[in-house]
Amino acid sequence: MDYIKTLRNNNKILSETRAHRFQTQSTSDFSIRFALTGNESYRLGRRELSVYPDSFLILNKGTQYISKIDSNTPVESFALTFDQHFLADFNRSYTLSDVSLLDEPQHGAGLGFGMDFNETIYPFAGDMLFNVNHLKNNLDNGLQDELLINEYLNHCLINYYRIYKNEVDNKVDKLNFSSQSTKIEILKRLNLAKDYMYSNYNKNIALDDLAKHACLSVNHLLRTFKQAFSLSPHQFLIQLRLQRAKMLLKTTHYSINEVVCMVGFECPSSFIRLFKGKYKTTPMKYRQAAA
Amino acid sequence: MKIKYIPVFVKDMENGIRFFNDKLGLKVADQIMLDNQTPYLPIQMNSADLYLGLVVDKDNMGFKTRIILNTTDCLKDYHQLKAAGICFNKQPEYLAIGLSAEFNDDYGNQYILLEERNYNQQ
Repeated sequence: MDYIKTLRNNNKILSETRAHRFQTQSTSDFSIRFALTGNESYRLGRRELSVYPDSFLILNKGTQYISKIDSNTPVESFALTFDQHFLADFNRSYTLSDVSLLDEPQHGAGLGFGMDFNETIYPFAGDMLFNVNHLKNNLDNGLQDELLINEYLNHCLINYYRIYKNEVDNKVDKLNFSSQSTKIEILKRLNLAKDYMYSNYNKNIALDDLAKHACLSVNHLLRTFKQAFSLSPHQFLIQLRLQRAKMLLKTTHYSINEVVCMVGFECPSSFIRLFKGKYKTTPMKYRQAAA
Repeated sequence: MKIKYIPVFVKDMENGIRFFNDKLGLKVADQIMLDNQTPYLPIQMNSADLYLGLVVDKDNMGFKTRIILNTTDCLKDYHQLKAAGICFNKQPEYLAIGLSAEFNDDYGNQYILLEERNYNQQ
């Protein structure tokens, strides 16, 4: 279902289903982008990022981007855009104590303006997935109550802040460097490698290319990626392929052999072995149980 | 054998009926006698054969009940109950089992709104 809903506080929700679309835009405010079915690719400067149903992308206010959908089947795009005052107010209430908020309800109201989050691909799972699905279902069924819509949006931010803590802050902490600025810079580069894998998971990814993409040497990438993600890049890629294969098994009728090729595995037997190792069931049994 | 009636003690029946009817939107059925002295007002939960039995705490014993109300959308129900005049003593918070919020009635019975979420199925 297609709609753009602009709330009185200037928060916006966009829902659009397209098989083909090409847009060059600049974000008016902080925005969270989902592809609920299929995939949508984004170009941010020189970076190419693909968003699938198991992931989402955030864009900061003012980011220039090109988004592209080119698919045989329609892709459901869903985007939440947060007005900067709403975001700043949320940030205050999330970070300050109740006492500070009561003592100075307006103090620091500007906090949050110009906040820059790491523009990378995040996992779309857990409470964020539940809340976004509830919001979308309610809007598709004609929800007009702005207080309730803002309640969902507020919770989407709570969910995002937690994901950010896990995906950015906690990973920065895990890096074995004394300087905080070095840690942050390394994680930024590791996220380039992670985004590259998220977006090219079904291709043959050479470690040299991955390292080049992340502006790190191969050894540096291997060592620091493992520190931050607790997995080697190869293990991360295998997990991602298995996760995407699981999604295809659940939501499409492609044969197992087709799924194997689509997610970038070369050999069905190794795919079945890895799938069984991770999910404790075979792909066929998983598909039957999910039907 | 199965559970059919769960007593909910209130100070005043009229007040209790108003709370369940007007605020929670639940229907109160005709009075029944579950023993020889005490009238109960059954409140059917959905269409299941399970009832809350509204009963007056005549001797002021201070009995309290804790009821967990299952929901498929905690934020929506939380919002609608707030609009109906329910004061929540705990706003929606994330637990390992899902999303939950809490409120009390005038007598101190505790109601927990719980949306169970299966995070493993994702």
